[in-house]
Amino acid sequence: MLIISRVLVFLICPVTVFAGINDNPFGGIKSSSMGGMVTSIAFDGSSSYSNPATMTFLKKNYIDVGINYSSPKSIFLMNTGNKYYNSKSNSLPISLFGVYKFTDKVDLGLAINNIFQNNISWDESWAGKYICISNKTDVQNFQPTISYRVNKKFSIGGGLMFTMYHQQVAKALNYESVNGAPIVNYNLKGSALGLNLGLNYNEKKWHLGLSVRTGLNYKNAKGDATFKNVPSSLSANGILPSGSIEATSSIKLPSVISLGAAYELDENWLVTMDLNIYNWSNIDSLKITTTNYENCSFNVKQDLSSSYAIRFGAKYIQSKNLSIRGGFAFDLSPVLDTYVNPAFPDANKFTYTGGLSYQFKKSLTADVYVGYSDIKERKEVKNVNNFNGTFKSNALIGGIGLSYEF
Amino acid sequence: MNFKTCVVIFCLSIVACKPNLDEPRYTSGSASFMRFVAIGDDFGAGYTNGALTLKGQLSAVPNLIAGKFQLAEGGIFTQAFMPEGSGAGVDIVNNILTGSGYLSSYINCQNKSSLMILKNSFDPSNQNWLGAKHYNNYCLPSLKSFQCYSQFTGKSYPVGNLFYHRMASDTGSSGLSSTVLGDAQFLNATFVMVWIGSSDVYNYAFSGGVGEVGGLTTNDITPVDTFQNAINYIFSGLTGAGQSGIVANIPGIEDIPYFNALPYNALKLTSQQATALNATSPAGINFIEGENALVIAVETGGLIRQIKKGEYILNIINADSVICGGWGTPQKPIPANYVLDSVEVSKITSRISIFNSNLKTAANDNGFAFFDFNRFMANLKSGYSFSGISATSNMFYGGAVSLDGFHLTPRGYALAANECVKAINLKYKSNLPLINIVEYSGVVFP
Repeated sequence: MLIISRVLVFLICPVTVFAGINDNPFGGIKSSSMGGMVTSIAFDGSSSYSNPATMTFLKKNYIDVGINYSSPKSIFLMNTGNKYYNSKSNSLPISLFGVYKFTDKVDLGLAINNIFQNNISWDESWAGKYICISNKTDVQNFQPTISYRVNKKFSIGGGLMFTMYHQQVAKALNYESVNGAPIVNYNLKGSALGLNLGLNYNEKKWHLGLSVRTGLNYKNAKGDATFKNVPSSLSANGILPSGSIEATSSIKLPSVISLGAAYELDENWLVTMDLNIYNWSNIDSLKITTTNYENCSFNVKQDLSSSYAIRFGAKYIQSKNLSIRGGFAFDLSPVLDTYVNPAFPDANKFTYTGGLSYQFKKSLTADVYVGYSDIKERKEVKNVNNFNGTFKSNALIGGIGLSYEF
Repeated sequence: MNFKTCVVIFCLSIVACKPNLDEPRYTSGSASFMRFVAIGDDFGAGYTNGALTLKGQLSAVPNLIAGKFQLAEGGIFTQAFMPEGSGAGVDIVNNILTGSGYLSSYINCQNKSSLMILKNSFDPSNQNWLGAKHYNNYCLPSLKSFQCYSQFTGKSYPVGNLFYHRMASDTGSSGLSSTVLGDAQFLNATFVMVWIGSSDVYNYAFSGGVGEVGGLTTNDITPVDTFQNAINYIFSGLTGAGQSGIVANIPGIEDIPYFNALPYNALKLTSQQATALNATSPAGINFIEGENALVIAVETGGLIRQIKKGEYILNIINADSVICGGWGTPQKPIPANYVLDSVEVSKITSRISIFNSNLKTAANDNGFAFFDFNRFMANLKSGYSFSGISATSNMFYGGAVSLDGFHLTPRGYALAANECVKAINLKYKSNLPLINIVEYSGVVFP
């Protein structure tokens, strides 16, 4: 207990501020605690996602389950002097990873995890209601994986990503009823296939990884739009629908190229560095189209450019049972100036993480981490949606996991 | 530090996580917003949906600006509030008092669901005198420039201006009435808004051109020298001690939905209908398949003709009357007093242009900021964008012009107030924040 408390002091107290808006960890709890994602070396079953090639260097079979937590907080100071805070929008996605030694050289893996998340909601009556009241997007991945160890140093791996996209968006429509503006809720689902490919090279104390995940193209996400507060006169004259209507959208998530290196300083210390390159360039708007009612569509102008994230992590083996981890990441925002909007109030982001693993039985390890993303202040003066003011966000993130090895 | 302490710190750090941003410090620049007085007519009063209502007064441009002034040492801004409800309106066309208008759904002559404007009944108690007080907003519906300083507007004269009679500082029993300008002067304003002239021109337009050009009765267009004198009186009464302020001007008729709701070529005919009408039409009138200019009565001699582009039909004639009622054909020409012909239109536009140039000169001479309301209404045709949406001057769906087709909705007034704030910031180097337009309602649908 004493050790744990000291570790907690080490992890938490020196960090001035902790939090990230879409900063859900996409990999396992261990690599999340080291700045987000480690592609050069495998810690457990989550390597089937972070870099499929690395899992064949694991010495055992793994099953890992994790629960992630993210609580983004945003403020918008409008150029009118009004201040708005986002509503509470916590999420708790669960991940499951497994790796199985099929032969000496071939490992089979499975990753079931959340690989993209945007979760923001505002009050229904807030000033940005005609742009966006809430935008909850998540992408669930189901990925069978295989990896092959070519020789003692080098391996390759690949996984087929079956992904499901789910988007729930709400906004107000520019017509007014006696009960306020009509609100439309969109609920859309889609699916797409992708590939997750990796290379891994190990030389003495060095570990190098390259992973490429293809873009995900949800060409035909489908669902419906439902309404409330529609004035009866406007449904009677056909300006607005009287019931729910069909909605479609088309979203592309970027391909991601990751380069990672890890170095063992000594028996106890490991340091890692990763670079992720996100190819966002092909999105020009967040758009949901509604059948027969163009005035009910959702269309937020968006211009995203390719961006990158750079991550640093360290692991210290404190004792046979306890490892301590820490990390830092910088994410460059893909959202260009003048395009910042309440559906995606993104900005450059610094993330600090810390965590530990405690092996309480021979084959069972508990992992925990907390993190804070400090999302930089972003001022819009010539916003494309004519919504000018300053956004500032942060997020508290964290997760707990259980790792079973056999 | 023990474990418990750390847990407490950890919990506090979560609570402290809420991001924060500080508002800038607002300053009045070289102006002083301490005592703000507005003088003018319907637009500055917040007249909306054909009446002066509490809701409209709360979104009156001077009141919205005053709200921003208060962030930079501005004082309180008082108004002679109407009781909550339907307010009081002057129906110039029918010369009666009414309540405010509202939208209602009905089945039109083509058996389709459509929208019509109904009016609340008038509550005479809304005219009651509020007692001997002074206010900050002396923008009064129907007030003409020269009426600002005229005792004939006051309580001793039953004709006067009923909106002034409610709030005049005197009882009206002495035989000498207080004047609007006199009451406005009482407050020793440090900042003045002058937004006068629309009633000087538009009463004539609403009457269908029945009044005189250069007369002083209700439906007349004010003489040029009278208008200029009135402006001089207003400025000499309210400035002279280093006051700052803003002047706003008069909108153009081509930008006002009331005169443009029914286009000149609203008569849509099939080829059979055109042939049938041509068989009975007098010489010079010829109908074709598609859009045709409406037929109007000429003012004298019982003649009829087709209306020309640039002439206007008052919004008393609605689309139903044309589509199903047969109005606008040789058999049922639109009466002359519902039409502004090209001669009347040119009188209106030339007089607006003179008055606006007088107002601009007055603003310059007195070092005031200037809100070009005329340009604002022109821009409102294509619309103003804000917070992801826009508002235009389209009837009903545009959201900025109220049901009377002339005055604005709270949202429209908020947009206008924003332009005033920008003009004031520019002129006096103040840094007042803008008005949050979405907080103000547009047209409310039933």
